[in-house]
Amino acid sequence: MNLWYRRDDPDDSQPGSHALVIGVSHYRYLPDSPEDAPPSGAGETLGLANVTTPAISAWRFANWLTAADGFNQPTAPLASVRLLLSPSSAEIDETPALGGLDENTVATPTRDNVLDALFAWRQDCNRRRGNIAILYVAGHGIQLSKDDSLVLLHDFARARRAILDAAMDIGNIWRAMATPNAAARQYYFVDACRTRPGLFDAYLTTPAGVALDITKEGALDSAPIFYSASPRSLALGLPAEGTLFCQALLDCLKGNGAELDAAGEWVVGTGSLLRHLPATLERLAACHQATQTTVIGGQLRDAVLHRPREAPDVSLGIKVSPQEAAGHAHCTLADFNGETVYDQEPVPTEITLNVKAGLYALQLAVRDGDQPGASVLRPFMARPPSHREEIRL
Amino acid sequence: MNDTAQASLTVIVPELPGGMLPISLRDMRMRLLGTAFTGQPLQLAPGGYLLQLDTPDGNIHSVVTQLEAGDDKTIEIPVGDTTGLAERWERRLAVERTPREPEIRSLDNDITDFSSNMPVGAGAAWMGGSGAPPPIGFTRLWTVDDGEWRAVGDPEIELLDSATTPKITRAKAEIHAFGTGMLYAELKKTGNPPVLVALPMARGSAIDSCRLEVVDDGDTLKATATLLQSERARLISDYLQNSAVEKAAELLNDAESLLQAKLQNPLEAALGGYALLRLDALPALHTWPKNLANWIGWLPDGAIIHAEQMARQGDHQTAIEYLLKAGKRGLPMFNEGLDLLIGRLRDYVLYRRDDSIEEAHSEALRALLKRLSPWSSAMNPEPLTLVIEGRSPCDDGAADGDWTPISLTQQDSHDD
Repeated sequence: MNLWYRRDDPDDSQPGSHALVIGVSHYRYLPDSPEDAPPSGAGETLGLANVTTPAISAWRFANWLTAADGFNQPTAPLASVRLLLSPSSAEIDETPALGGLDENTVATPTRDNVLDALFAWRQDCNRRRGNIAILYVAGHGIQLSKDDSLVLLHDFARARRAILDAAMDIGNIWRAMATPNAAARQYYFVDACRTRPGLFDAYLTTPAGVALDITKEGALDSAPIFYSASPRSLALGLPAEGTLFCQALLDCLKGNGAELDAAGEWVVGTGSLLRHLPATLERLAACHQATQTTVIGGQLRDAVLHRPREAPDVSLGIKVSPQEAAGHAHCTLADFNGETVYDQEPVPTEITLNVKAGLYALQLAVRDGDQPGASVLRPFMARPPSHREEIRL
Repeated sequence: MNDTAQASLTVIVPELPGGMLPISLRDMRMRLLGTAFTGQPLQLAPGGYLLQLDTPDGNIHSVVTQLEAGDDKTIEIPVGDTTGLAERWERRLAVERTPREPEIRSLDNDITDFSSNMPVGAGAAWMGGSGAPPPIGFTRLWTVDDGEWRAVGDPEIELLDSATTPKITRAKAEIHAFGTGMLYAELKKTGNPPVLVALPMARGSAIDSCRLEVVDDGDTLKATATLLQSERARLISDYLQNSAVEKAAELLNDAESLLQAKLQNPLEAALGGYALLRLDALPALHTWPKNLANWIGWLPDGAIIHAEQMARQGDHQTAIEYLLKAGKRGLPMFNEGLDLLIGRLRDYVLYRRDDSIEEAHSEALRALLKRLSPWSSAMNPEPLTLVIEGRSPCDDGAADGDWTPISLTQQDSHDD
């Protein structure tokens, strides 16, 4: 299987970021609905059926990685992306590009194909300590703990196979990747529906078919695992947009999850994702009148994954009261380079602006006839995604 | 005495006047100058500063200030209710099945009418009396004795608050530690799956009671237990629950102080151990996990932390020995413990081909994994303390009369 993306000028002497991206919506041996009979050749299906959002989620994540305004990490530029997808017909209808994938570069996520990709990905990641390993996987799954989960692959439920033969053991992979020469920064995003408790109890003492040997353990700089682990999580998203978890993750990566690093630059890393991904996902789920949470495991020391190319956008709201004063006020808003971004007189009681994140100085002055009156200077920090200031004159 | 060329700045959180929360200090170019704690006077050069306070509920509060030479300034950063996490959890429980439900009406003002905060014994209602409405559910307490579940009686339970709307009922109580081992509350509603909650308290320690909250959404019971009494433990636990592990670790100061406090406060020590493991900060653990595991023989978490520490250092024999010890002590107090325990067991039993694992150990590990896996897959991963949904230590079909009813008094009910 060839890489879906390879850096044009691979400089093997420099660290790079290597991604393995897997999305399983269509399962070879599962029916489209739990009420339907499974296809021929199926064994025990545990009552599971095909889903309609994991493949488009993985596709969107992979495209963000390679986009011009996407993943940016100067210390380890994107070097490779391995992509394995099995889209549903609903996803292909919404995103026709998913129907014409080249099997040479986007393989079907069967047990054997994923094993091949996994070993190759590990080999790339382990080549340099400064590399970054990124694993994104979406599909049916079962979560056992914050660190351990199983994700079911395209040929799950094949007759005459052990039930976990086509399952990927995320906890095992995470532990096996923590070797002394491994990529020191590793990020795991597991977008797997949390199946019914008890469904897999009888099989949890058997190994999964997609796993790695665990050798000598070593310390890493950071290796968080972010799970979307709510029941029905794969059903809440739309075939055109992907899972809510993927939408929330991309929202954070595009800037809403950015925070300042020690040098004063905006970055997205372990710490900022810990802080912003759960809240972003909760907000999105609330729009669907549902609750969905992020479960976070792994090694959680802070490290930078991505540096947005410019400061994130902030929706800034300024409320001025009382109304009478606003009608006689002069308002200026300047960033800390001294550049004026808003200058208005009189001002409305509610000012809404889109600004770049950063420090601002807000000045409001009220005229008392021809004489200068009360004046307020309010410095503040505008952080994504939104910031609100209330000024009472 | 202040250096007049410098300025002094103290940051205070009004809601936590004695609390030390980590703050970061940046210059006007937003470069990080360092981190400090609230309540700690800082000597700074004149200039503009950006202060950022990460509160345990996951919010970041930013304040910009200008200091002149000789200033002695105190800045207040109000953060609102510092018990926000518990409230958030409560809201989540309440809306999970009925997202449009109106807010639960608090009955705080009525507490004295139906409870004198007097402990009630086993078999008595949590808060009911003659003429009380039917119980919303039932509870019984468990402990683990050498790997075996054992029902225990005589819980001391104090009603703190209760409230009800047409669809949601909530009860909040304080439970006092007794006996010598871990305690778990099992809750059930007739005809529904049970919920098992580990109670974060230890008799004779600084934390000898905990708070248990039960929410009945008309369909199932949901429950969570929270730490009481130790402000530092509560802050660490709030940060951990919000995955702000580095902030939690900053509150630990140093592992040595935890070592000294272990006997007095084993739960705080365990929380500290979990934070350091999540950061892979093995040197900071020193030898205190071993002491915690050996001195606090009833607490599974100490044995789990030491096992994990040894496994990461490559001493798998010791790791296995302590994993098996942990298994005999029962389910851990904190979710983190079951995470680590299951992860290591799966590693040893399913994937690691290590000749140094003795055959007898291999079988014992497999048996422990088989016993614990169903608990793990039924664990609610969100709360910090262990909550298992849909499984009981003993499906003995005990009649409701053998359980302690969770009832509301007449004045708690609202039929509107």
